Amino acid sequence: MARDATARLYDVDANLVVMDKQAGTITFRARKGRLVDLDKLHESVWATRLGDGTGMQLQWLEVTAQGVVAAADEEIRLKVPGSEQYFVLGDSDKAGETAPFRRLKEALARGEKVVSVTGRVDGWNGNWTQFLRKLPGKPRRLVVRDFQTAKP
Amino acid sequence: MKPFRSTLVLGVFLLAASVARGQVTGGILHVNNTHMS
Repeated sequence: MARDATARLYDVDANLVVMDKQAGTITFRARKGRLVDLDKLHESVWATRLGDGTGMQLQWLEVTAQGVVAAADEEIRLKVPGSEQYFVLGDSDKAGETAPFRRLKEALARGEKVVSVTGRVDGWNGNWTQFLRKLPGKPRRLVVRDFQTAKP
Repeated sequence: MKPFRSTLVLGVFLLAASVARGQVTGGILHVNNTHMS
């Protein structure tokens, strides 16, 4: 199994990278106390030259980010702790997928503290070769699919 | 590159991408699975 081989090679938590061939997904999570850098993720995938001649396509990248969510400059942002980096949180343009972002805004309006957001990274899709040529722009926009609030 | 090897290499590089100055705690890449089977 590729996943097991990966885990053996790097002497890591066996659950760190999970590949589901049937679903076409590769699930990853940061090592304890670390965060995954999307710039480096893009650079690393680019280095594999996976797009060349394979016809592979990235359907979407869904990530979970923790931080402080607040309104700023008419946007709702998730600020990454300990850095100047932030995500602009947004709504899906697909009917039926707008509820999570609406719920997030309602939670903020009630004064709840949103501490974690899961969403799809805007612009991270398409043909691998095309996608990997250039790092998508910043600030990154996350299409909200779920979020968590601080426990009272 | 063979599909199996491609996905293995991708997994390895995803793992190597974990660094201290990142932004996300984890994620899911969804790839068209014609090259993952």
